[in-house]
Amino acid sequence: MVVQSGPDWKVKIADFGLSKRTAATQLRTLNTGTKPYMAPELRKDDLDFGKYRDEIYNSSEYTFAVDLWSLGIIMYELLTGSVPFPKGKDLAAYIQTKQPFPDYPWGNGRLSKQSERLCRKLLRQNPDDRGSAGEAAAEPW
Amino acid sequence: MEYLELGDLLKYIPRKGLPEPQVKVIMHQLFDAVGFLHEENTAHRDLKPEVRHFNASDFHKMLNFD
Repeated sequence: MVVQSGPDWKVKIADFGLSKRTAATQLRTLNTGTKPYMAPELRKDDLDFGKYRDEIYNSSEYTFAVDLWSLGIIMYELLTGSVPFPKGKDLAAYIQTKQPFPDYPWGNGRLSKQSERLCRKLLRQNPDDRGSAGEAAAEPW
Repeated sequence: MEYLELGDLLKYIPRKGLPEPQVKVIMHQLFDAVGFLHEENTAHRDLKPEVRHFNASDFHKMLNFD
């Protein structure tokens, strides 16, 4: 992402090397993204998600929901200064246990409840639960 | 436009994060951009704050392309 810094932030998306023009439900697996930002359904080959494997992987296909996950990671990083799952084992633990994030940033009241609600939605384990980019924009935050 | 103003989003993130109102401004631009891509049946698949393989001339072109 390319930016002109604040107060009038201008952010542009770059790096379209991996992007794919295709039908919404037929995005084939391509496991070559940037790992801390990659959705769990893209990491079938290098992570063990235990009994939730089938729920996450959705028969080796994935959807636009992979971008919603990445936006959740970016949002978390912008709010806290670090990514929620720096290592594969952190992501695997999140999926396997369905526990809250390893480093819980909303506990001290610094960040709004609305931001928590949206970030958690973007980072839902099941791709179908993350909503669309339009829905994210329309969330009360 | 000054090249010096531009760069990866990553390098503007302080150690403890940006103030929430600024995050909101940035994220809403990203939601709009990704929403547009998806409406065009395109998934980006590698969204992240840093960019690779770009030089100042590329930045300049991108920021002036609307």
